[in-house]
Amino acid sequence: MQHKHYSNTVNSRIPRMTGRRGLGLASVLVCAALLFLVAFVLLATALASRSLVGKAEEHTRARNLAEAAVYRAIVRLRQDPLFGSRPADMITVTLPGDAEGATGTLQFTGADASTNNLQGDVARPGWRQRPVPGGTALLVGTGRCGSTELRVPVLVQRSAFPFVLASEGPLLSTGATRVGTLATGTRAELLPGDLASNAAVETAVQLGDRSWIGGDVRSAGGIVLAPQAQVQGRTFTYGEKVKLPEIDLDRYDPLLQGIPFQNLPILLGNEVLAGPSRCSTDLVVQGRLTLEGATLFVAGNLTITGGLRGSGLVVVKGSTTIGGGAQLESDRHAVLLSAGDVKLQGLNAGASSFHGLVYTEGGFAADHITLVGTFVARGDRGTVLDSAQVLFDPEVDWLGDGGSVLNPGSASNSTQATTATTLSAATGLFSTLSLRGSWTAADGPGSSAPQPDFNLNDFLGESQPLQIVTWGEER
Amino acid sequence: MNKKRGALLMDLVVSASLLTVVAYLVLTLLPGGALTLHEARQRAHALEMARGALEQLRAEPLTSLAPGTLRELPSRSWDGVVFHPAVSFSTVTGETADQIVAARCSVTWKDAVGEHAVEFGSYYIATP
Repeated sequence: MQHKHYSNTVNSRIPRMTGRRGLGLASVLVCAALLFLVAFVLLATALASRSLVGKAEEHTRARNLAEAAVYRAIVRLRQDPLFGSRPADMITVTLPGDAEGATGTLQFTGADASTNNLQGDVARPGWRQRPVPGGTALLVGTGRCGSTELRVPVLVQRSAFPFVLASEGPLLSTGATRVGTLATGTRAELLPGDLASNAAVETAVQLGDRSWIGGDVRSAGGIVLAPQAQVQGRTFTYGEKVKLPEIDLDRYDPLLQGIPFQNLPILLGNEVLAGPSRCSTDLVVQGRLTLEGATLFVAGNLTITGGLRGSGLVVVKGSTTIGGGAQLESDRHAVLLSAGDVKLQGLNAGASSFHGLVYTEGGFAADHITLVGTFVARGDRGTVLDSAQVLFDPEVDWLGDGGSVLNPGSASNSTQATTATTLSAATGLFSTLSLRGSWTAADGPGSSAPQPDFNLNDFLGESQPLQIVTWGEER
Repeated sequence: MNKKRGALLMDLVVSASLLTVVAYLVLTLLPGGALTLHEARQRAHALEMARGALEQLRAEPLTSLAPGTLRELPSRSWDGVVFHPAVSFSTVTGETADQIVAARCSVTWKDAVGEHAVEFGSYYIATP
């Protein structure tokens, strides 16, 4: 019994002791688990943060690498517009600080191939079947860093000459001179158009009382505005000189180029020219000169008393005077390149117009005339505008959009413009495209002989590098 | 009594061992985690500084990024740590400096653990 009693007593105590032991152990376990949980959460958070930062860093590095490859490609394209047309053309870059194996590449073959269509006239399918319009290049840089691979597709195009009128010398405007850009559609008002002068004098740009400039005025010297003169954009005084295109006129001499030409006498009446023509000395046209896709090279001075009409290329090694009170009817597109002064005289800005490009290495003077196109005066003697309208034609811009070359007077112009616009609207990629027009000799009647292409952009050199149109980033 | 003492002793040993293991783990994990977290945050900050510094250079004309020069940028303090950014410029092999320039942005900082640095590179070209 005693044994039984003892046994009962012990048995009755043991469960209580076990309960205490279990409680203590449970408390320890709970505390340990909590501590462990806290530590684990902290560690997991830290590791996740590190992973996140690592991913972000890889992404940034991959993007920098892809962009670096694109930048190098743009530089190569500036130096060599045919870069990318050879299978071996590719770019590989590495950047400081990147892990080993991190590279940026750009190639013209394979799945991520870039497309150089700068020389093309029509759109070509490019990376991921995206259309690459003529006159543009789609550069696809690929950056790889760690496990991150990133692609940067960039559409570039040849830059346009950004000024409606640019003068190496001083620019003087008198009378009711207006400078702007023709509006499209039914809009009547003028759009912005910019002026530039490289003269480093206080009176580099002088705008008279009735002058109206729709855009900016840039000057390497000062700008003097009459009280009533209006500049809709901004004025930049004592700024950097604008780099002007430089054209070697001799390359258009059919004699030097060995192209058959029609030799012109020194005096002409009303004349219609087609194909290459050349005058070895001064040429005077007493009447109207009509160009039908002609290339006229004059080794001396050119004087036209009855106006210039039609489309074509006129290259003058001396000075050029057109007008003399006669109505100018260059209603289509003409390119006038002159080594000496250029003087265009009209009756009034409403009745006389010149549509095209004027490039002179001398001074430039225009009075009572509407000038539509681009006007470059490289001579120190400067530019004088008297009651002239100087306008840029946006329709020519759109022609450049498709990368097409404007054939002055050609019926295909409107088709090309429509195609380019449609393409832009369809892709939604290239809505900001704006190329300055380019001219070539027209394929008009009688122009059976080969005509030299003319494109102002070809003469812009490094001053007008490739312009970035769209910039993206994709996986 | 002996059994009781033995059981208590065993409890003590087991609990102490468990707590020791957990304490060791916690004491190892907590500072490690904290350090990793701080390092990640500081690196993220340095990364953002470098990215911003390189991005700002895009607004400058290429002529102002002269190869061979070092540009010290203003230091910034964040979370008690001072970050020192600097950008150096160099030419790109095979290219002229008037066309393309390489920039190397380094951000350095020092904390209780030691000195750290992040380095990024980028190219810049002349724009119209």
